[in-house]
Amino acid sequence: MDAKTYMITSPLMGTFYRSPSPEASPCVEVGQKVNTSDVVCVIESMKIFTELRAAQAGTVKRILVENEGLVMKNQELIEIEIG
Amino acid sequence: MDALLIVTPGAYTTVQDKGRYGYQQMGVPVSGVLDAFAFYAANMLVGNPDNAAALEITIVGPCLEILTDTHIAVTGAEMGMTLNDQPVQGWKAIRVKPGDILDIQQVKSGCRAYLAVSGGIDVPQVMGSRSTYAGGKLGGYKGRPLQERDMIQCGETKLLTKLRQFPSDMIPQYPLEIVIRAIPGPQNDFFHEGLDTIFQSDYMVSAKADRMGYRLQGPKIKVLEGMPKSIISEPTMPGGVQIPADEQPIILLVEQTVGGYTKIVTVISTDLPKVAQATPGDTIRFEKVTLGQAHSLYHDQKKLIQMLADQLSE
Repeated sequence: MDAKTYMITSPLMGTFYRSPSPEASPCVEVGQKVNTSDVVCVIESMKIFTELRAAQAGTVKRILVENEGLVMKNQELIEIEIG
Repeated sequence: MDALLIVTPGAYTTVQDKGRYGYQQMGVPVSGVLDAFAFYAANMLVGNPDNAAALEITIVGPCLEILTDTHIAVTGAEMGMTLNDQPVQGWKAIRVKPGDILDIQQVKSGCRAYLAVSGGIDVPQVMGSRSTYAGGKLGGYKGRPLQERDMIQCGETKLLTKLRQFPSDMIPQYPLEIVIRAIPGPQNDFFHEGLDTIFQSDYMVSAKADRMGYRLQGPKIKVLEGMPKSIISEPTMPGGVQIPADEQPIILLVEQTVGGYTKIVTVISTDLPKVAQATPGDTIRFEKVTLGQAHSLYHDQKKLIQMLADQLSE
């Protein structure tokens, strides 16, 4: 049975960061549980660090981008298994 | 009166009005809203005067707790939005009550949304304006973007008898490729082929794009042989397109006062909202118009805004 998942996508082109600051540990790891509106990653663009949040509670299934990777608008970043 | 409690602030949310005029000679930029059309629309929908301060919301919106019985309206960029977990639409007035939770999520189309509250956002006027200039830590809410647990006040609420809705055919679209109109100059005599280049090429919005200006990437724009690469610094206007040393254009916006690079063209004010709604990766093409055409487009837009205001207040 396939569990339902959803994707966190980037709202704009920018740099993908897994943690809110260089010293901090990553917001999430694969297998980690997240609650609704937990910050899961950060996009830097337009001199703004935009925190992206989980839309629904679940478990991080995949992280599709390397830390500090360039991402495009609407690119899929993190897959979350609902539940 | 306490109106809004910031539960989460969003990516970059500031209080803005039309701007702070008359202080540029002292190094104080105009600031104010980047998309004046969407801003006017938001105020019209809640029955505010056209310069009532609103929230300018960028990329990811805030989550707000409503503290008073009032009307709000969100216009501009399309962002997912829920009121007490039920989806709600932009470009129309929404009746809200104390305890309601308005959650504005990440952008789907465009870049900046505007949230107006009946009575306007009430922050102290600084040099005649409520606009935030974060770089100078002045105006707006404590001179900075909003943060968690900020308490936002609003002016006197006047509840409307009818919930206003913007005509759907007048709601702007924010495509990924835009054409913006510009007039040559003020330093067009520094360029020759450069003018052909800028009017005939596609430019991409780079990640270096903010309220000060949008840096673009595309074919290089060369200053004429023998002409200086820079000028004595002079006042800049929102819409001025500078060509710096890397020969890539910068569209100057509302947080710039002076500049020492030549300005090859100036984007007409009517089209600045299109720039405000562009995000990195989008494509911009410049279309040449005359000053006369720019003036008549400006008058047409003023008439349109007045017509919409009349229509909505009926």
